[in-house]
Amino acid sequence: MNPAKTIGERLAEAGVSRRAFLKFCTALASMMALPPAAGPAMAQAIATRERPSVIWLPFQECTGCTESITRSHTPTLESLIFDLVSLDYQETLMAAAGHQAEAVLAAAMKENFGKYLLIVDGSVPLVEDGAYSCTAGRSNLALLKEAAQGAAAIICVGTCSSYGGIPRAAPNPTQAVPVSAVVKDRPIVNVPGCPPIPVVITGVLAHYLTFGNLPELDPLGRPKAFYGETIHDRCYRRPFYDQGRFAKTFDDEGARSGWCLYELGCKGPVTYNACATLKWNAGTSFPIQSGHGCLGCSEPDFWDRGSFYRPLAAADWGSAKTVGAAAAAGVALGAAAAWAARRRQDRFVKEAAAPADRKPEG
Amino acid sequence: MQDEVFPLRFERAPAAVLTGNARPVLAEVAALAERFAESGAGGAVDLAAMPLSPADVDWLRGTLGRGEVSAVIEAAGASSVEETAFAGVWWVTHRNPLGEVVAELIEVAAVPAIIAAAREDAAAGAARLAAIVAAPAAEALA
Amino acid sequence: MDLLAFARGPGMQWATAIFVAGVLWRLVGVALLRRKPDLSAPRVAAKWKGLRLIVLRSWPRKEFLGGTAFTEVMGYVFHIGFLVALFFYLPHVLFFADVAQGLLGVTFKGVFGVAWPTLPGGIIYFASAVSVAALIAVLVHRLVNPVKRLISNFDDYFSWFVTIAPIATGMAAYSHIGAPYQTLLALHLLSVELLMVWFPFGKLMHAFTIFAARGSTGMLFERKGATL
Repeated sequence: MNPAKTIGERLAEAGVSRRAFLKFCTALASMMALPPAAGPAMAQAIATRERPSVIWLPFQECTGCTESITRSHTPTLESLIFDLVSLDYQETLMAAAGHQAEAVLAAAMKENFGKYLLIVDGSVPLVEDGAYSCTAGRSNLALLKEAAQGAAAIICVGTCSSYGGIPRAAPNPTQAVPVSAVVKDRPIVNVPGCPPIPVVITGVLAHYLTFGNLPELDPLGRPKAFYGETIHDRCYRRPFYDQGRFAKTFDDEGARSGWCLYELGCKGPVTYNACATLKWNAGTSFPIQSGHGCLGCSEPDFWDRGSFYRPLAAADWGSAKTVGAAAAAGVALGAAAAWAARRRQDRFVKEAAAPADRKPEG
Repeated sequence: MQDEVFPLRFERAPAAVLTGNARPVLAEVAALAERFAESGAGGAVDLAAMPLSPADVDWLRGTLGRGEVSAVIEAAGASSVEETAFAGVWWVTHRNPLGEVVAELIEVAAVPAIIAAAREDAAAGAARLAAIVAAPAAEALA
Repeated sequence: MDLLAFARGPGMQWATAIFVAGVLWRLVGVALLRRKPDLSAPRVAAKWKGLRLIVLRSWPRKEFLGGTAFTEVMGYVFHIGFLVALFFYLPHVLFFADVAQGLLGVTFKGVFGVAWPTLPGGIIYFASAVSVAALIAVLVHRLVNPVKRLISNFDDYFSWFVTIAPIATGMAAYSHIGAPYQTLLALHLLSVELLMVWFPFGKLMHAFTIFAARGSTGMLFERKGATL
């Protein structure tokens, strides 16, 4: 395999016509929310590029993110890993195992030093030098530090590598941290979600391929193209929110009529993700369309932000105990103030009654 | 009856609701068509980028109607190109090999870009044709 | 911890505690004050009739109508708009429901048999806008009118500010104007918390004292035989 070949040459050899490629790029542009005219320009750009080497490291994670990317339909996982990138290491998808796999990893890191794209899913545990999660006898922490050195950029796939995710949930026994807490000197793109939408993962890769740089990010390091708007803003049930029509339980008339799930704890208004527009399973549906509120899985610490079923409006005002204590304090203060006022009155009355007692002034 | 035990009812598809977003899309198409008629410069509207419900898309499709030309392009899945009742306004649907819609646009042009043969492909085709012409007759027939 | 998490968590807890403690401090403090003994004989026996003043004072007497009509009308417009937005917007109702559940262990529906009604967002937005307009109108009036300006102090202006801030930020959050929704929501909550913290210590406390004050004044007047 000659890695110097451009993607266009490789596709031509594989018998992929220009039409098919143009169509592919049109679909990519559409998915990335670019103007339709970007399709032909992308076709031009991608065709002249070499396939970048991609190394995918799984840390403290559940493989849900890998499961998700295998469902990508634009581009399909096959076309992505065979045509567009050179996926050199991915434990779950690769055929090699054991020492062979580790040798592949070492070789890929060495050959493409400074150029490869590092994809990480899973958080990094810090306790006991990261002993809670190891691959081939090495801690995630050590592996990440080494792999990051030669990475052109790091893409954090999933909420765990982006923000710590579920491993970081209180009480965080492994002291799990996101990649950005370990690596400070490399460009990092967060693609959060539990898991992220498959086409969002591939879309970020496609952006890198097309433009040769990383997409514009929001303050939490997420690509604005996919995380620019809240679920609530793009939700098809939004009109019901505006009309004040809400499902009160999961089996009432409102729920059956597809009304807004805000009262049932939907976190859509404070969750930035593309579920409401791109949807899941090739555009079939997304949680709210299936009748359940948004959990807010693409936001930091979503697991520790109170019950999934408590309405967003129910802020933590305290408890009966704290409010009772405040009330008791208030009553005590009031009583003390009144007592002080009465004493002052008594003193004035006494002084007024016995002016002779007063010391001469001046 | 099952229904009486547990009155399951399908969600009234909110999709059947017109959001009011289709008309501005149509206005954009009209503007593109006008520009195309004047200067020959067309354009396209990506329907996935618009917050349209399926009912909105149906309304657009119905309003634009059908014209004289339709074509199917078999390139990594079927793509269909249909002229609408308004000449130069095309309804383009791209599907992947699994038949899933990967892009849907309204394109304003003399001919949608996907139909035209690319020069690179044409060059490769011409070379293959030339090879056939140059080959001995018996070999060509075989 | 980000701004929204602070506003929804510790900020709200402290504001609630300060609000409850402050309000009770002032109410109990006033209630336990010693009353001056009234040694004169009452002119009218039935002093409870004086409570009519609570209602009577709710609109101006004919004599003053010309001078106070603007303030009165704007006052009503603001208060009604504010209360509509406060008590009939679903997220607010859910917050109060959560408080009621946590403090008393009851739901509105459980006690009264029907759910607390809510209004569509558009109506709430309109009520808020009207409320803000009325608040701006009374502020301008306060600044333009020399007498009012003379008798106004920091309390008046700051109370005005902490009142209009939650409405304005709430409208901004609803319509997503100016900043990301989380930021606007956090600002809205923080402005509400500022209102709650200031509430017991400024003129806003009138919400708790106004009717008691009118009632006791009315009873005093009645006892002295004054025309209400």
